[in-house]
Amino acid sequence: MTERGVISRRDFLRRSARIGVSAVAGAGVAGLCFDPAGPAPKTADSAAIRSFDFSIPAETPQIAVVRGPDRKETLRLALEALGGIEQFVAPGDRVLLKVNAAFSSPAMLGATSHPELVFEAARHCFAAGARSVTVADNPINDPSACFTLTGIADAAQKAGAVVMLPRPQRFDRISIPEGRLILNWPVFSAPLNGADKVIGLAPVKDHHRSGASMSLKNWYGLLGGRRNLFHQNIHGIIRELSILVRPTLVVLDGTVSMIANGPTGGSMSDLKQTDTLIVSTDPVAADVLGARLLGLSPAALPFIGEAAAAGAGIADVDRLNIKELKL
Amino acid sequence: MKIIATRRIAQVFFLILFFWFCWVTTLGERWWQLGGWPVNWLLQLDPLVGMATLLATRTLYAGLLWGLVTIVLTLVLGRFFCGWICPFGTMQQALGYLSLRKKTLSEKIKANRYRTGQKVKYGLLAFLLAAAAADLVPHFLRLSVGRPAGFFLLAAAAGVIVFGFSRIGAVQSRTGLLAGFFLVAGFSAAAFFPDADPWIYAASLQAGFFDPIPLAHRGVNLTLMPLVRGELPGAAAEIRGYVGAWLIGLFFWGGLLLCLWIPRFYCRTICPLGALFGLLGRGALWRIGKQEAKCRSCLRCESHCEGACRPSGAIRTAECVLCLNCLDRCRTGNIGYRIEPSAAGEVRSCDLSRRAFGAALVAGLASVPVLRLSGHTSANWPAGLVRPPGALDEDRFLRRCIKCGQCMRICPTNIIQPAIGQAGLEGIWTPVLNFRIGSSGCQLNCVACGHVCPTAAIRGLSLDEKLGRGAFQDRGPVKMGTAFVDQGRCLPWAMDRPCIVCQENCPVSPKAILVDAVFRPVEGGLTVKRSGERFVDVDLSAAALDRPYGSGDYFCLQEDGPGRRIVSVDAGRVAMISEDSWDSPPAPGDAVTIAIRLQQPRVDPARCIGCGICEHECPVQGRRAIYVTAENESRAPAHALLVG
Amino acid sequence: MASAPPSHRESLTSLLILAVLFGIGCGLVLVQRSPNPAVRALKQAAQFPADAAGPAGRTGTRIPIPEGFTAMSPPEVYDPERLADKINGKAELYLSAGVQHLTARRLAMDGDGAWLEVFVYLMESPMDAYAVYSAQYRPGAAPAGVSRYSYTTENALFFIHGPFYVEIVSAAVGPETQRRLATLASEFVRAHPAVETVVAERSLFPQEGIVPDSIELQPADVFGFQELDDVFLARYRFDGVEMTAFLSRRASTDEARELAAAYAAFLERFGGRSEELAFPAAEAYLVEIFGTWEVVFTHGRMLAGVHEAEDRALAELLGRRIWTSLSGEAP
Repeated sequence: MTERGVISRRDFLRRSARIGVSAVAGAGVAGLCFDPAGPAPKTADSAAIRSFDFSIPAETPQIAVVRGPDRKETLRLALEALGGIEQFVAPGDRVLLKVNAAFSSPAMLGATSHPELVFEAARHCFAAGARSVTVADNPINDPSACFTLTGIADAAQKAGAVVMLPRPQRFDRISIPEGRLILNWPVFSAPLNGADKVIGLAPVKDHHRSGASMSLKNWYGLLGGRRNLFHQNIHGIIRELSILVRPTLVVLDGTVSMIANGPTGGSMSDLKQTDTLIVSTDPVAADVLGARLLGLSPAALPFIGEAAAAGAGIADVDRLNIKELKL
Repeated sequence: MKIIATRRIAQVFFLILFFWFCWVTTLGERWWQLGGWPVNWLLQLDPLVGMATLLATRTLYAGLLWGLVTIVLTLVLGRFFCGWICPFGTMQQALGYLSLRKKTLSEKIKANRYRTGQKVKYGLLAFLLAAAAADLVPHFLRLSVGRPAGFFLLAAAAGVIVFGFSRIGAVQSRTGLLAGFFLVAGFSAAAFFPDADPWIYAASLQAGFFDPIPLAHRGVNLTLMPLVRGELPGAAAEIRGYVGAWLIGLFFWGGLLLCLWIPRFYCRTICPLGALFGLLGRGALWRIGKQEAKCRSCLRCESHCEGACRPSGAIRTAECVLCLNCLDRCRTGNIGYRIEPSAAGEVRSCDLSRRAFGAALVAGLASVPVLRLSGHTSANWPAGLVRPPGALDEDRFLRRCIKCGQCMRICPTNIIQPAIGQAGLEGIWTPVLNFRIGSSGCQLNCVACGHVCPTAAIRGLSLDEKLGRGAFQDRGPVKMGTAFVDQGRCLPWAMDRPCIVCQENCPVSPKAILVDAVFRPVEGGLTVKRSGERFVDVDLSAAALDRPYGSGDYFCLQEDGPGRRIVSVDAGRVAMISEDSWDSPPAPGDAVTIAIRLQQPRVDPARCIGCGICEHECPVQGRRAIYVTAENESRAPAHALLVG
Repeated sequence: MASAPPSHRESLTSLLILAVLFGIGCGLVLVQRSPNPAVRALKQAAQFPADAAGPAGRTGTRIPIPEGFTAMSPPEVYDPERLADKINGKAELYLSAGVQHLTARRLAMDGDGAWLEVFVYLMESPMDAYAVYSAQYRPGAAPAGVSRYSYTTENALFFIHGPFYVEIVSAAVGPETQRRLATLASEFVRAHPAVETVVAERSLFPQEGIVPDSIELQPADVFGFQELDDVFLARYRFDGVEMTAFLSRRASTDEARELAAAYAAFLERFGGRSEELAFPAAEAYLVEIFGTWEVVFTHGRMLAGVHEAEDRALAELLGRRIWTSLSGEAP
């Protein structure tokens, strides 16, 4: 506030200077932010192109199939047959157990990974000297409810593993090399980024859309966004998932198989005691063996051929040396 | 020449310019059409548009740089825009003059006295700018996450801004502290919730709701121009309808008519642009003031004071709109426009209390996350919100759209309409496509809306980009949405009536609407009494005589055999054309069926661009049997319907 | 009210401001001269409307250009008022049949570089298209197989498809040209899905004595009688005696009867003389006019008859045959 009707030279200069500084500051900000071209449209071609390979180079896939009703024992026998978990998990490794926790249904309905198997797998990893074991999945139903109600959260906690829930910031937009479906798509990448080894734990299930849901289809739980769009091309997406993730090992649980009304099931009558556990470094071969439990040939499951063609594994299991054991 | 005469000339000049720009905003190359007229110039000169979009987008789009010219001139000259350029101000001044013409001097002086309500506009400005800047803090926080150096740099920058704000800011320096407190609180809050979904941290541009330049454009474009039609060059042949125009009219005409009660009511009390100019021009180099503190106190200088800034006493510089009437009215020449401050003193504060200012600021900041909770920019996106071609994705769109109505005015088919509820409260009066009200759908070769959008909320597309040609071949055409057939309302699907209007009108090539031919029996089990090469005699039901069997859509089918098109039906004789062949005609006693051939439409979502021409043309008038929703719209890849 | 006269400084400032306003005005007019991109796009689209209608809705029919052809000119569109500019004397034929617009475009055939021109007439209805098609039919031409009503000559192809009547006229001659014109025509048919036009009336003319390929549809003002429209005509020749048979499907039996009576009355008004006619139809007229015989009768909604027969007996014979045909009996 100025009270007098006269202005000193100093006042005038100060006022001019303030106007000058303001104008220059304004012009500076405007200049810095000036955008004559206008905004670009949102397009799908901006995501990083990448895939996740955790496989251990080997000449032939190593596969063990153990028959028996007790998951604890079949897993132990299978790992022993392959030379022990130490062949796959080194001391200090951070291991990701990618379970199937898709539905908030109880373990006995066989729609999700069995908690006992999750517990045993985590225990084996720790026994091999793993620094940490993370259990993760992006379920269809509410994530924390899924992990709790399936008993997986409990099992993980008991074994000393950590459950990582799918939070938005744990996803990255990713395109896989030469992908046609996984293009700029949100992928649950945080557990993968923080892992040295990845083990897939999947139950053998009938699947209405794809024919069967086993270890390859299990990677579907790493996708975010409106992923059910991919049901328009289910075999194509499983093929691309087999490119997205190359696991260290898969454990395919056919102790009890869901033979009808998959993938949700809901009744004990949908289940069949098939007493088989498959541990494999090759997810394609594991799925071919698993399909047999459902009475399906690979020809009935186009995704097997497509994943094999994409280099994810070998579908011709008769050519492979499979260690078959019985409890 | 008297300066107020010059001012009146300037006001009339810009008022005519404004109306001219509104008038020529129709698509065409004649001089009375769009051609190259810079119809957005007044919007671009409006620095509130530039400033608010800058805060919301951190960019300043092309022509909005003109706002800088206005700002610099205001810093030097004061609030000249309000008194000399603003068309809404000129309209109010003219109306106010008429209403005061017959009043006595003292009544005029009373009408133009300062009122404390005039501070409201500063609060409104704070609210609007805060809403536009609502995600600046989370934005900078996200930028600085994991980069301690960046974090401290930003914190320092924020400190400097706060300090500077407290110096040149609206009110006293303690407000700066308050703002600083909120800034720090914002940083901490955001740091506490790294897990929170980002979609509620957004910015919302609501300045255009109250800013008089978009307000006037909207009002004139949507409630005045549509009424003019007929032979004048540029007038529409048909009245152009606008959904909810009454509400837009209420704000525009209501805002205008309020000046019959208090002169320049909107300018003095509500106008956030005026508030911005007031703040910017408080320290102007030249200002209105008295040479001698003492005068005859006749108060004539206040009789026509447009800003109600009290030139007779300690003048409120932020309120003065430089109408210069005081200078003209003063009989002693005591009032001048000079570098020296008024001898009677100046009031530079805008009278808004710190508390009110802070409240407006916080309300603005908080309003956006609260508005966004409805999820209309995320999971709950409204399928009925079909935006014009080239519109940005919703979050970025709401940071730019100033609701000026330019796109709605230019659209040659009148399908761009102001949203009422479709886009949520913050999206009111933003453009949404409505295929019922206009004269067609979105025309393939038209890209007008994006090229008149002053803020690039709708991008200016090239024809190649819109149609997915040339360099844009890989990306395909710009899709506004996808058409869906309502099989319960569609004539050939639900009512056995032949109709392929949607398919015929689909402008996409190859067509995005396909038809499947089916034969639906109308009368079955008809026993043939007599037959010939081209006819059968049967007993048709009475109802059959009302059916247009001879229209070419009806066929006579043999049991398990091919059908032949019926030419006419007369007294139980069904005549058919012979150019279609029958292996052997039905013998007397055989059964034949009369069936209608229907072509049932379906949409190929991979080809459909959502232009809405099918919806516009659909003969099911009430709720169309084919309609466009925003599925698959190009602007939001997350709304994709198809993959791979 | 005014106080002191304006000071020198005030006037100067005013002038300065007015000069600025003038400058702004000039600047705006200058800026106006370079069109907005939207207007340029509109102009570009009007020149080459590769796809359907522009904002003004005045653009023509899309003519797809298949591989092997190159556009030599942008499409030209002629509305009824300007149709004569393009086809001069023939315009009347199209105008009377209800033409909406003509789209014409010149293309070059890759390889030999021969050029051709495509004329697409959009008519109001498929029947209107048939009318202009049949009126210009070249007798003896080979069917082109493009649509039910299509034929080809050595250097040209003509067909109707839905409401379109299309002529493709080439500068080259020969079977290879015919083949390539057929490609172009098929592409057009594919690009504009439409229900196949079937002209049922064609099969109603008795075969005996008919002059091949003489069936045509006259849309209006038939035989100089204004009320008679949409009439199918076929020429007949019996032992060197020529006459014309005609058929027209009316909206109702009553209308057919009224029209038959009105036509007979029309003939009488211009010097015709009615004779008794032994005919199966209740509504049947025999009129002698200027030495020729006219037979008119109705059959249900059908109005039919014989026009300008030089021999009474032959006229009656043809009339009876048409009646039989209309009754659906084998001849």
